[in-house]
Amino acid sequence: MIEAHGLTKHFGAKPAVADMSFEVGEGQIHGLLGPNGAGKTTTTRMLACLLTPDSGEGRVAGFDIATEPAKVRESIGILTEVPGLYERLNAFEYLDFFGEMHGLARAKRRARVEGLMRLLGVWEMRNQRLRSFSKGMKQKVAIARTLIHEPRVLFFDEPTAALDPEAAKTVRDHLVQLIEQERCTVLLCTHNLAEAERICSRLTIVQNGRSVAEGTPAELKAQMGRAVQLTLRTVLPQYVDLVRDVPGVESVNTLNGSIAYQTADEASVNPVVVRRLVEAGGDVVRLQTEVVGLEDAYLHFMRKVAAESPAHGEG
Amino acid sequence: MRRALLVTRREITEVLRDVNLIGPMVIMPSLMGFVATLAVLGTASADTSTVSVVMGTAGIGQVGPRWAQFYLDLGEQGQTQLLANILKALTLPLFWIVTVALTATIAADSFVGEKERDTIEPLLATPITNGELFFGKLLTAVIPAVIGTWLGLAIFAFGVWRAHNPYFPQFLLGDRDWVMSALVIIPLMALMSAGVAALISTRVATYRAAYQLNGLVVLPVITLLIPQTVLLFFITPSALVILAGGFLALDALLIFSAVHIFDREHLLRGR
Repeated sequence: MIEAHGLTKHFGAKPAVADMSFEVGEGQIHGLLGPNGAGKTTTTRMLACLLTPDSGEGRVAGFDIATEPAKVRESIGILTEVPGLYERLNAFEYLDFFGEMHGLARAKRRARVEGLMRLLGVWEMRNQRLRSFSKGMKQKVAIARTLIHEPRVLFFDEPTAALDPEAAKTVRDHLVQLIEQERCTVLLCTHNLAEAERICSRLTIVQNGRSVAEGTPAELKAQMGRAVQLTLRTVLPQYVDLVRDVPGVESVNTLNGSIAYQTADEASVNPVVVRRLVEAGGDVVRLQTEVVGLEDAYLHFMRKVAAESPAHGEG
Repeated sequence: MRRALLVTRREITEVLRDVNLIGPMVIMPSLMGFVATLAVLGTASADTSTVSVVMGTAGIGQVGPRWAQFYLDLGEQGQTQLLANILKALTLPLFWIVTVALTATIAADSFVGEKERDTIEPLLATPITNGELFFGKLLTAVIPAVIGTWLGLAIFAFGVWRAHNPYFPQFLLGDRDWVMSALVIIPLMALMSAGVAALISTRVATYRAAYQLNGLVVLPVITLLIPQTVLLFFITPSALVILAGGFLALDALLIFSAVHIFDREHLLRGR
């Protein structure tokens, strides 16, 4: 439903997006995960035919973004961090305008506006000017605008970033409910890891305009292996160095009388670590392992990119 | 063009609800209408010699003995006609300044204000084409400015009707030049100002900058008043046709340039 193949965009000499490729199947919620300036917004805008790629190809809802931009725009809804409302209009007029821009007939438009506003809990405020709405309410109206013409593909660019936690949760819950109800394909740009893990079926981690990893949240975490916590009676500095020297051990640190590390091969690594600690005189009290969180996986990929290339990019 | 008209309708609805935009649209032409009416009232009961003395400051007294003799040789009826032409040449273009200034105010808000308020992205994500978006915004600037100018003209026409001034037609809308100005020149001037605003919008990122640059459009219009006055003085009503032709050509050039330069990607990236 969404295909990006080698999308590239420069702003001046800087590559905002470089050779970005991924595919999103019908009905999937795909997350673009990355820090500010990683190229998520630029990628979304190219796929939404708001920016023209310098090179590469893309298809959205079966239409080519280079040759069929009007058809692409008919098939998509886009929601950004800033609601971007016409604040001198009231909520009903605003949604009615966008319904009409998408060519909906009057009766269908009115029904659609009412249905979405009732679902989002803003119907009672339909005659109020949008400037009097709270941030959360404005974002709800923006969500209704995004869905007014029953798009097949949705682009959400940091839709909850500007909201307080309570409003963000409300908006997120509504988004999930509406996505399920409308059976849309979604590309979600976010740097909110919890949000991404909760909502997305697949993730592409983006840094410096490039895709650095892709997979389901479970697959990405699996690439990182497991987090291990070794509790010792006494943690001496040489014990930490000793663990760090074991091949296959990553991200070693101390935590409340424990040594924590990550490994992708616990079956081989953990026995070696324990053996060396015991040989060095350490009293191992307990060893716990658990799946690495998405946050750890994300940070791992970010550090990996930073180590491999000089900092650059914008977007 | 359906979507262009939708954009225009929506934007005009917004203009009508913003006191910062609707205020100047009502106050400025009304003031101009009243000021022009004062000129009508001031000359209503004066004979040609009195008016000639008054008008001396507007040119007759500064043209040398040959032209002064020409004026004296015209006789009572000819002098009245000449003074009528001069008064028309002085009052008629006043409303053109109103048109240009109003268009500049609304166009700055329409073209640049939208990207400044972050409302441009959802609009660009609709199936609207570049041409529809451009013409929608052009009409948004032109229609309220023309209607605002007509408001000033209506006040002036009312004053003229009440004053029974021998140098003005009692029914302004019965005069070919005033009708030509209201229905042809004023819309063409509004289009010119909107075209300039569209060009400026491709270069600036803020409403304030756009408004200030658009305001500069008023200056060439004011300088145009000098040749316009001379033309109207001598060859009215052909002068208005010549002026209309000139503005039409200028508008065509401006809009052609603006359509080619108008870049929706720039609108987005300029935020």
